[in-house]
Amino acid sequence: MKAFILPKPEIGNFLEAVAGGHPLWIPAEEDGIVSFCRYDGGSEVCLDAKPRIPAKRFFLPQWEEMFAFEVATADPVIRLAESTDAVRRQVVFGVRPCDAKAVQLLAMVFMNCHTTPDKDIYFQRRIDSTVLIGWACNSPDPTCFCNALGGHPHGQEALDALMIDLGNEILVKLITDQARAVVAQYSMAEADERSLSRASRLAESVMATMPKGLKLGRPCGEDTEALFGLSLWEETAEQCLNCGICTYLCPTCSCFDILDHVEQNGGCRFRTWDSCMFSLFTRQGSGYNPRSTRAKRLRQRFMHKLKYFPERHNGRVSCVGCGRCVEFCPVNIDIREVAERMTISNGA
Amino acid sequence: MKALIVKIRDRASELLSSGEVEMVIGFTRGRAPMSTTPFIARTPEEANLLHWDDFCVMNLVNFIPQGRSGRAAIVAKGCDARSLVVYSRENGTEPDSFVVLGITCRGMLDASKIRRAVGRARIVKEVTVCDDNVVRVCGEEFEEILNLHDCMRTVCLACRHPKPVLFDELYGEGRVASPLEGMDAWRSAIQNRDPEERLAFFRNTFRHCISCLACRQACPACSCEQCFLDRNKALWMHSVNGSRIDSLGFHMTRAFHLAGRCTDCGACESVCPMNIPVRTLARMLNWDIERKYAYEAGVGELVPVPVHLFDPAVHERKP
Repeated sequence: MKAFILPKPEIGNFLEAVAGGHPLWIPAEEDGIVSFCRYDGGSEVCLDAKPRIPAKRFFLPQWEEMFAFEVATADPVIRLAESTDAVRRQVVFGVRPCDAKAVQLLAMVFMNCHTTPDKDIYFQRRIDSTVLIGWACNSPDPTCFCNALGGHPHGQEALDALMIDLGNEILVKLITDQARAVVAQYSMAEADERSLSRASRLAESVMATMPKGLKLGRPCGEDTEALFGLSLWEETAEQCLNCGICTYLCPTCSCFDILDHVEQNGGCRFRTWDSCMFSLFTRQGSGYNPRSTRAKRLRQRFMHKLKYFPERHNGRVSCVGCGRCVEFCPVNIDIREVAERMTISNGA
Repeated sequence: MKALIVKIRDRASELLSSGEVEMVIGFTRGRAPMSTTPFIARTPEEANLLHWDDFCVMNLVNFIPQGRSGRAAIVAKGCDARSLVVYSRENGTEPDSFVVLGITCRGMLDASKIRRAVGRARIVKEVTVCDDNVVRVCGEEFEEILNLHDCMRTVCLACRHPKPVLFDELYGEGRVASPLEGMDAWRSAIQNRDPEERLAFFRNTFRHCISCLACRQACPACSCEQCFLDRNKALWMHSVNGSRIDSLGFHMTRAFHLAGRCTDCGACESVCPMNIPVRTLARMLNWDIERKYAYEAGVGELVPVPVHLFDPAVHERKP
């Protein structure tokens, strides 16, 4: 891995050069919130808050056409057509380390599923064509806890490059060949020992500000039946709105629904985000709903993240500690607190 | 504020120990700064967890448990009280089944406005409203003085009913700042445009919607047992032509259902994770109801809702 130095005032030119080769997405402020926007030369990058919708959207978009179909009147044969959603190489800049780490967890679901050796081609083609340029967190929010899930505010996992703000200059670490290719047009000086050691000191000092003692991995060792019967679920359900904020803003939530849009001469099959918080999510054709109450749906969300997922995936908790669900929950439900209450045994 | 919290706790504790009520519906402190959580106290000990501050933005009527049998006390600011009137009428609730601990509201603050004003990267620890129309925001190694109007929720800036319309007991000191004039000027500007322009305006307003349904879930007036949307969510939500996620159909239908029932509490807007001014459409319809029928939801206790009385013979325009 090679590291380079980008003087801070040059960041605009750097982005311009990257965007010259491929479509580029950057975090920018629009209508009061920060979100990933298509870079169009004039856009001003905003790096002082996590994008509201995580980088998950580049791999699992909220709406994705899978294929189209056509029915000609004269010829009663249904013709399938390749989706018009062709995915081209794209570069995403300003991805937080937690959001990148989440892509690994999504890949466990879509590319390494326990029930089938097949990979999800829609996810696969987006993984293959997307380059992630990370932005290290120097001032984590009070709701951040990536360290509790094995992450680091300056972590590099699943990133193609990582940029670290050192004050007047930016350290650019190029991790993969894809990253080297997209920034090849921009010449930068190689980083010297002094900058590298500044970066590692900074990484340590940021890590030191992170919360200590959180044990989100603990519930997975607890007895399923015992967790199922906790009074926690009914209690929390009195507050829970059962809205989709926590799941839709979550970088690791991956549930979707598949639907057909049908018109007279054809249509398309598409998939969209869905949420275990919605009553419709599990309602069956007969009208029976196994998760008929708010408490049951709420329990599913936490059990899936903290119990079922790690059981299937070598103890990996389906959370990266980005804190969005904590920060944006209208009633302040906090996964850290829920995990604490799901830790019922006294084992170490 | 502290004195107010003590009053709420003491009264709640009395009501619960004497058995006058089964539960007290109020707020408790949130874990993060500038946040609160709706909370139901059922014992005098739990009453000590009740809390009140300038971030009690949710409408508590939305948190009245279904299937509640005994009497309940509810902490109610102006908008909660109006929603309680609508709730009671629509649910046929006996007038004395609630003890209303009314609070004359001084307007709630908007955490996202404050965060933006002090800089998102700074961590806010404490926010205090001072008598002289300013807000003191303290955080790690900083203190900022902001104008109260710049920190208040947009909906509260124009509130006409900070004092509860019904209450058994009344607390609170009321407004610090007076209601801002001209907050609704956009309505007449929109009203006079042609339909295509109006549609474009509303489409643009809701263009960032991610269909998380938090607005519906936080709304005390969204009380349908099964929402029209839940008959088949995805097909209602997604149009294939043009913009892919099209939630305007949902927002428009919801607004029509709320006409004359929405108390403009702003819960929908406060919960929106995408900062969408969700009130816009319902506000527009409420305005029509006010102008045409001189009616405000949840204000006159016994006046029926105009849309419930709609008589085509009287109201329908002849061709």
